[in-house]
Amino acid sequence: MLRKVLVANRGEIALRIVRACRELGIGSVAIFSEADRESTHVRVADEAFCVGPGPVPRSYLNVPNIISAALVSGCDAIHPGYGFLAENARFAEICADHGLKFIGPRPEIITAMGDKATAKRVMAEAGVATTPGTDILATVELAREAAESVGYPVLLKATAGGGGKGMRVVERPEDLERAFLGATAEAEASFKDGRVYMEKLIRDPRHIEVQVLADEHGEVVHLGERDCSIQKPSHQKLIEEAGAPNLSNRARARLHDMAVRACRHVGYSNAGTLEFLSSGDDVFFMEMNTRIQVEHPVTEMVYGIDLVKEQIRIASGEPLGYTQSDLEPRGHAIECRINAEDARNNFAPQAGKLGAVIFPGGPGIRIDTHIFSGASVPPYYDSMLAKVIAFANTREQAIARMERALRETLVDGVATTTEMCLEILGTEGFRNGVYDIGFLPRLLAQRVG
Amino acid sequence: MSSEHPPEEEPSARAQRLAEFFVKTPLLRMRIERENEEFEFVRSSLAQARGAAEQAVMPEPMAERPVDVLRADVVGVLRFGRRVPTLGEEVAEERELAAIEALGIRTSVRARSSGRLTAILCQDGAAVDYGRALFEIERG
Repeated sequence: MLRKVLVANRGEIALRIVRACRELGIGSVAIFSEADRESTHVRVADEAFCVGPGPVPRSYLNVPNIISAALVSGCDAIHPGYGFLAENARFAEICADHGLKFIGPRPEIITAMGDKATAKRVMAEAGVATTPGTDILATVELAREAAESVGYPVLLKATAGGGGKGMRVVERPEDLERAFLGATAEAEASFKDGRVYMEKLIRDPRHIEVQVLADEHGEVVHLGERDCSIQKPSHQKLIEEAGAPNLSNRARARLHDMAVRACRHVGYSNAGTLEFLSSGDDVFFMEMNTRIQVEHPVTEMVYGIDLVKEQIRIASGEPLGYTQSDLEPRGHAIECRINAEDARNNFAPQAGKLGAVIFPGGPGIRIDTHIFSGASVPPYYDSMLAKVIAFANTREQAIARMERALRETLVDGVATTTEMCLEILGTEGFRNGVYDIGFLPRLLAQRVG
Repeated sequence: MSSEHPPEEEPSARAQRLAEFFVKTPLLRMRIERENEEFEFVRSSLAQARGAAEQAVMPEPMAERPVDVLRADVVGVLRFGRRVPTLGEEVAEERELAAIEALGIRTSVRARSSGRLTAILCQDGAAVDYGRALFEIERG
């Protein structure tokens, strides 16, 4: 087993990883920026090193200081959490160069899955259904020919992309040139990689993802699916649930089978998530995240497995010790993200000092958070303050439990997404489990209208 | 007439006295070895050490003289120079007081101005993090 892990992250996920280390009897070393000096993960970890000032490039992306902190504190591994360096293959290589185990898949897998066009090609080789589309398109003329072949409407996507950057919907041939030039310019500016590819636009799909665990000895299991279709207009997730409601057994079985097959094909190890777009019984691979996900707790609740501990065990070289037939989901779990955002002002991020903070409790409620009364919310980072997770025997009970929990939640000092989540939970569409990724943008548009 | 050596204290009293001394220092670990006994004190976290460092009693700078605080700007291990800095000594501008070793690279810690070394806030060989106060120099 690993002896001491440096947690290269902040906020609730850093705390989550420190807790897993402690329960496994492993030492933990936190890193923090000057803006996070008072943060909970700093207090709870066995040791803590400041790695730079508030801005992310100088602290949580400061690779030399992070590696040095791991070495001088005697760590033998680094857990990257999510975001920051979690899907940076070069960072994983640097860890290995310094004798530090990167808790995640091998660097070449991160590289392959990080490039969307490559990932799609590899998945197609594994027999995974992918959205009809193309490889990299070098010119407008090639894009025009491709669009005629794929059929309008199409989606232009940056291969290095994420967060909707370098992405354009093209409804008609006359809009293609402008969209192509706009997407490549935006991708170049955002990722220093202007290459784009094309996909058939699937209208109003659901976003369904499958959690996988793979050890370093070839065993691969899935831990069911999560529905993450409640997304802000910026495509950031707000509410997730496990399992996905109203998904046919046929589609569910296909999703699970494709996820495991894909992992075996690429020789994947550690925790990962395959994201799919679903429309009716059709499911198409979208991308693979080679890390722990924000929404991992809903899977943990229904499978009774601690995914972060499993990541550490796998990185230690231990076999999973169970097979697919040993895994059975039980009940239903929902997660609501409590973000410091003004939902009435296009989810504008909020920063400042918090007043009173009270989180709910009681049966079936789990809170993953790093904040406390009087804590500061720095302006430099992601605005997520907490995740409220409700678990119950049925989806209906889980919704009721979540509504109760959100009404008990108090975060004074900044606007939060708590009320927005309550509003969504109360809609007929959510209650019936009939929603897609356009659900929240349509709800917001109606409110404005 | 006083004896040359003070009377020997009980080991438990000595441990207590050393522990009280240790908590006031910014040290992460302190080990004392004698003929038939050894004491080792270890802090469980750097944050605690940092708190102690902030509360440690340091020589008061003279109010009218500005004080330069030299801080670590990389994470690494502090190494004093061949000429070990000593409390109260006069240092020249640009004098290298120590270096921080990290990933095989040595980053000098130099006096920004000439003056008197009024505080040494870290020990040779200590792990230091970003922003950690290392030395105080009262400008001359």
